[in-house]
Amino acid sequence: MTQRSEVLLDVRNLKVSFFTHFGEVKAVNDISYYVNRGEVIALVGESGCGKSVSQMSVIQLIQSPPGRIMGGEVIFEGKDLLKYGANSKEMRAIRGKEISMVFQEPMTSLNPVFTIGKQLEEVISTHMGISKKEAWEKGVKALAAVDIPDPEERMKNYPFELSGGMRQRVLIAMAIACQSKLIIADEPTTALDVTTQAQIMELLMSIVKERGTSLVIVTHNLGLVSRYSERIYVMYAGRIVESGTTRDILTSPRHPYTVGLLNSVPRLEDDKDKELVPIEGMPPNLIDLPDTCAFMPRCRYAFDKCAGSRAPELRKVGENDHYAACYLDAGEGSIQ
Amino acid sequence: MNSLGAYTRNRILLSLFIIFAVSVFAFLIVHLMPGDPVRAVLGIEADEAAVQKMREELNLDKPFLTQYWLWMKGIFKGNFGRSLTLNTDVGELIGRRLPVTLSLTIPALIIAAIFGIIIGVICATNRGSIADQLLTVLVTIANGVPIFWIGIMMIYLFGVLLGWLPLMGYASPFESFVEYLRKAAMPVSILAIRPMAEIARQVRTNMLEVINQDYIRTARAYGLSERKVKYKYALKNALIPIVTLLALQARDVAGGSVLAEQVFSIAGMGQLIMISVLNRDFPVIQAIVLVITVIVVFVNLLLDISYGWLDPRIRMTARKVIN
Amino acid sequence: MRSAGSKKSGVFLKTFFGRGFIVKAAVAIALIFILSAIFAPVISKHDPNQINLEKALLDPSPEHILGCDAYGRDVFTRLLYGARVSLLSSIFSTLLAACAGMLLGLVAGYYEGIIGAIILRYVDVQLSIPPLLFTIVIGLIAGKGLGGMIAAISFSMLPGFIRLMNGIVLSIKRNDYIVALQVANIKRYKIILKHLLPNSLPSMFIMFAMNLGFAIMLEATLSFLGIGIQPPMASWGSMVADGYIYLLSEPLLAFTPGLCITLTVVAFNIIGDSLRDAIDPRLRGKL
Repeated sequence: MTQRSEVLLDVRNLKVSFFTHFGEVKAVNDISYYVNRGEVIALVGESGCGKSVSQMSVIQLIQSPPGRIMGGEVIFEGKDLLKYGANSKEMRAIRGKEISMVFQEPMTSLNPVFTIGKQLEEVISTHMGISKKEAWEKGVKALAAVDIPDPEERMKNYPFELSGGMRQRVLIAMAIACQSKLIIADEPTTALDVTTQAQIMELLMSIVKERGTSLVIVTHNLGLVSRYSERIYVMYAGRIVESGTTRDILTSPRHPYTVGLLNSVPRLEDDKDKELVPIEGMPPNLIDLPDTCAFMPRCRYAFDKCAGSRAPELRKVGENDHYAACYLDAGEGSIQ
Repeated sequence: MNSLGAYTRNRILLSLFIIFAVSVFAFLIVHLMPGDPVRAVLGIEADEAAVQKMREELNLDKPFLTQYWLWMKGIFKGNFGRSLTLNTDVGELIGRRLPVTLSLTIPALIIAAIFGIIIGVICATNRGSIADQLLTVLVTIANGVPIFWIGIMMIYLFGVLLGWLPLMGYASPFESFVEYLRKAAMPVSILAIRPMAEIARQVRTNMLEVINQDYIRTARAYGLSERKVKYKYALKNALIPIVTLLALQARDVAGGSVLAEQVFSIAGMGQLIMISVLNRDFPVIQAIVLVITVIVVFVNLLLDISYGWLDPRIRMTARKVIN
Repeated sequence: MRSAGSKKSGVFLKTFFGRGFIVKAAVAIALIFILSAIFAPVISKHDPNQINLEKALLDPSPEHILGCDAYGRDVFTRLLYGARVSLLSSIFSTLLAACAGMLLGLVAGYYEGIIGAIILRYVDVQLSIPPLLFTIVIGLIAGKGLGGMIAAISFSMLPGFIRLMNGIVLSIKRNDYIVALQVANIKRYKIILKHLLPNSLPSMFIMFAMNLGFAIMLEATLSFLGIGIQPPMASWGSMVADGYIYLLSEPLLAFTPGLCITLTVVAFNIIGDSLRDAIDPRLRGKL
């Protein structure tokens, strides 16, 4: 049972489109989700499914034009952030202060011609209204909090002097420097090598647990988040196709796409000779999406109702708020 | 030695090599010129004894390498030789005319840089606006219009029709600054047009490229104001490569001064070289080529070093990546 | 096969004319320029160099649509013949620079050792001298008149071609499949020559087109300074210089040839840019 009373971020019916030469790309097509205080959730899907765009839209970071938020509400601590202008003072006060983002590309996400310290100090002094010197000291503390050795010295380094893992730590430090209530980590480990990936995830988790920060992990890797997130939202072609507790999603997935995702990643609890099965076909073109289920062309379980009906809505399929958007009315576990 | 030191040392060595090579080129001018330079000055009817005497005075009778050695030795002592036709010491001629040329080219470069950067930033931040489209037109025209013709048309417009500015001539800024401004306005403008357009175009391109970088998204995602994002975070990245472009423009403006001085009858280095070329006055030509190129190479060197100093990626590459 | 070819040329034309009206106007101006140069004697019955002092500084009239210059020569006719000089000198000098540049760039890229270093250092040295100054000096050395001027202009365009060709040769040499062929013990010069032409011609062609406007400008500049085309031959640059003397009374004399230079150079520059974008957009910003 979820307790909606603790909700920190409540996204309702968010729609985001990009207007290109080829037509309107419905990158995010009516999605709703929520994050409780201190909760870790995951948004999972293939690249291009709209998961990153939906997160950027939360703090209105979409390049406009071509992007545009077409509708919905982003309610953060009771206030609808979409009511603020993209460059308004109110929106800027949220960014980096209340909600922080950690990006996929640590190599290019820091400005190459300013020192780490300068960039941290700038963010901290912008939000905390304190002197540069105090902001610098807070920056040193933030670096220490993400286990960077010699934080005073590292403040004077330029980004290119640090390894990818180190830079991602710096970005995490930036995210926690102003005591954000929510951190959105967009594929935080994808660009890193495998050993560093685990370190960064552990670091991120220990920090949010310690501080009671909420965390949204955006990833294509269901295996990665299974250990960390409490709930999972699965996205496909701009929509959420399944949501539920991590346990429910992993043990009794109800949407064929989720099943496909699970079969395509190795998991610890699997038999060691279990075969990995990739999902056949390509993600759909988001410009001329059919009215029918977007996953149907790739779906192994598609049947006549799928072809003749509009895309299925999310419906409750189990206890603990387990929802799936599929016409397949199979009993628990049967589609596996 | 840190990497900026090594970078600086390499730049200095390259500059010294270029200056040496240019000195050889300048020296060779007299030998590559068609015809006998002495006869060209004295006339075909001049008697053999006079020709011989002048050859000796000019060291032209000595072996090739000795000639170069004597020429360079003289230059290091500040002796550029004597003009064949103007009956003046070349060093003195240059000393009188170089400040004139510098008082036109330096302001032209500064104006081009300042306005070029401002225009480039305005166009990049208002992409597709009327100002932005005008820049494309300006760049296209600036690259296609002969600056000597623009100069003449300006004289007609501002001098003849409107009567705002004197038609031509020059006044030293140290004698009468107002007169200098009035007389230098047009020549400085025609020298500034092309570099300004080039710099504006490059700044615009760089800004647009930088604005799409991940680190700009980071700055926005962390609540920095759009002003700070654009004019601090993006601008610094966009401007660093402009330093290199400035070096190129300095070189071209030095060449352009020949035209500006010719059009506006200004007694600077450019006019001097035209007079000397028409008179085949080789000691002057050699000295001008050498002096102007040395200045250009020196400016280039300074800009290269400041580029290395401005860009931390060059300044610090020798340090180890911290893991 | 044929439809694929025509589709490709369709894409080419679409990109080439991508900037719309501007490119069409540039092509039209370039065509007018080339046709005037070729058919100058057909278009005008006047002799461009015939001095007739009775007609000195004559105002425009149906007989002389742009009037006459200080020697009574028909300005319009001289503009037509000036186009000839511009066209001839720009094409010849650019061709010369392209051929020499290709050769030197090839040698520098093939022999990367001391010969290559000498050629590339030479390029550095030339590029550190202000181009106009360099061209003036080369003009002095090469002598007055059309030939000397073409030599001077092509000399000043040489570094660009050398660098471009050198870069192409080096990139071919570094290419994996070339290294593979080398491992297979096929003679290196054969490999390079075989792959060189198809790889270098498009870039060279773009460079050639983009330099034509530059060459026209340089010719006009040298002729304006009096060290290019010699009187009585007509050149737009020298016409500006001649007209400048009569600026107060007859401003048109200096205005029209300058306008011709501007229009032609702008047109050629636009065509060069559009060719580059249509043939190889990756070269944008590099050439």
